[in-house]
Amino acid sequence: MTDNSDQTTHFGYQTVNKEEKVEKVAEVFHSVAAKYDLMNDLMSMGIHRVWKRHTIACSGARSGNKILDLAGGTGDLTAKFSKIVGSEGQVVLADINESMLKVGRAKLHDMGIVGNVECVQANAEALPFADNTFDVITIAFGLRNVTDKDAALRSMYRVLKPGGRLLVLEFSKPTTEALTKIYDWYSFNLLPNMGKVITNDAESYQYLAESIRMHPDQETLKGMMEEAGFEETSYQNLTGGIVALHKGYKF
Amino acid sequence: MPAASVISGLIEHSVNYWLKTSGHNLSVPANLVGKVVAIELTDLSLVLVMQITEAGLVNVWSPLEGEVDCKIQTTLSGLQKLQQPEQITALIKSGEVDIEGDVQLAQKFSDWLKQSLVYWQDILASLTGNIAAHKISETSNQLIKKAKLTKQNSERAFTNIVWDEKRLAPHPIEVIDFGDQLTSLRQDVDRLAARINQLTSQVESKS
Repeated sequence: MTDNSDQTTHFGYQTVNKEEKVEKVAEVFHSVAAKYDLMNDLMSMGIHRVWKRHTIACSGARSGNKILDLAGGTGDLTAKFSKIVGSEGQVVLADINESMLKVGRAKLHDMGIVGNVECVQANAEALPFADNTFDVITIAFGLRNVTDKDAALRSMYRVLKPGGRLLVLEFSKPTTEALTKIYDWYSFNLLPNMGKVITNDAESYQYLAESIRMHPDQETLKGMMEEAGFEETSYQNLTGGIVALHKGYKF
Repeated sequence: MPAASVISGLIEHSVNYWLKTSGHNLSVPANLVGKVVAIELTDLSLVLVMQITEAGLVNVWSPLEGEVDCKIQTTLSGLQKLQQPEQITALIKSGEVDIEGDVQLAQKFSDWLKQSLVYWQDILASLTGNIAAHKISETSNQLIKKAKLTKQNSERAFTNIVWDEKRLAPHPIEVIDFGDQLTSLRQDVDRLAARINQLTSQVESKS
C-alpha cells in the first residue's frame, strides 16, 4: 500500500489529485472570467475595491518601481500600479488562466493603460522571472487557488529584490463568532444563487465558498511566509477578518 | 474596512474629475511628475499621500508607507492657514505646522492645484449645461456683490455708532474725577458709620 497524500490536494471540500486541481481551478476561472468584475462588485458590495486600494497604499510603490501583480486576473491592481510607477517603472500582470488574462489585457487597453504593463501567463509555483527582479509583489485573491502554496511563496521570494515586499490579500477567518455565522450563511446560500443567476454557474461560486474555508487562517499563512524566507511578516484583518492583508519583506 | 482608503478614494476621484474636466491636467509642470507629498492631519488621525502622475492626475492613498519627497504635519485649521505662504514661517515657529523635505515642492503642488479653480464655470457647464451654468454664475456674482455691499454697509454703520458713542462718552478726566468723588463719599460713609457705632455703644453703657 502506498501513501498518496503527496499527490492529492483540496479542491474546495473535495480531495483531488494535484493535476486535477489545476484543471478544475482553470475551468472555474474560464467559466467566470467574462463576468468576474461584475460578480466581485455584487458579492462584496463594492468593498473589494477598498481592500485593493488599501493593499496598494501598503505596498509603498513609487515611480520607477518594478511590480509583479500575481494572479492579477482582470488587472484591478495593475491599472493603479501602472499610474504610480510611471513610464520609468514596469508592472507585470501575471495569471495562470488564459481567459482571465485576456479579459485583463482587454480591460487595460480600454482604459488606455499601455506602455509600462506586460501580461504574462505564469504559474505562481514556478515564476518565469530572474532572481531579484521585483520591488513589490502582490497576490490578491489568488493564493487560495494555488495548488502548492509553499512552492509559490518560495518562488515569489526568489524573484523579489532584497528590500522588496510581498503583499498577500486573501479571504481569511472572521474574528468574531457572530460574523462567522452571517458570513457562512451568505457564502453557502446567497453566493451560489447569485452565481447561478448572473453567470449561470452555481458550482464555481460553491467552490469559492469552500476554498475560502480550506485556506490557511491568518497565523498559519504568516508562518508559511516565514517558512519561505520572508522576514518582518505581519497581517492586518480587514472587515472583521473576512479578508486579511499579509505583508513580508525579503532582506 | 479601512476608512482612510475610502476617504482617499473619494478625494482622488473628485480631484481627478475636476482636473480632467477643466483640462488643467494637461498643464502639469514636469518637475512635479512622480513626486510624492504626504499631509498628516493630526486632529483627524489621517495621512493623505499624493502623487502626480504623468497624465497630470493625482494618485491619493492612505496610509503612508515608504519615503516621500515632502511631508506636512498639521491640523485642519493649520492646513487652511498654509494657503497664505507668508504665514509658513510663523506657523512652523508656533509648532502648528511641521514640514519635512522639500517645502517648495509642496508650494508648487498647491499652486498648480489652485490655478485649476479658474475653470470652475467650464466644469459647472459640463454638469448643468451652458444656460443653467450662466444663470448660476450670474446669480452667484449678484449674491457676492450683495454680500459685499451688506458688509460695507454694516462696517459703515458700526463706524458711525462708535463715532457717535465716542462723542457722548465722558472725557477720561471726568471719569477720574467721578472716581475720586466716589472714593471720598465712601470714606465719609465709613466715618459716619463708625461714629454712629461709637455713640450707640456709649448710650447702651450709660443705660
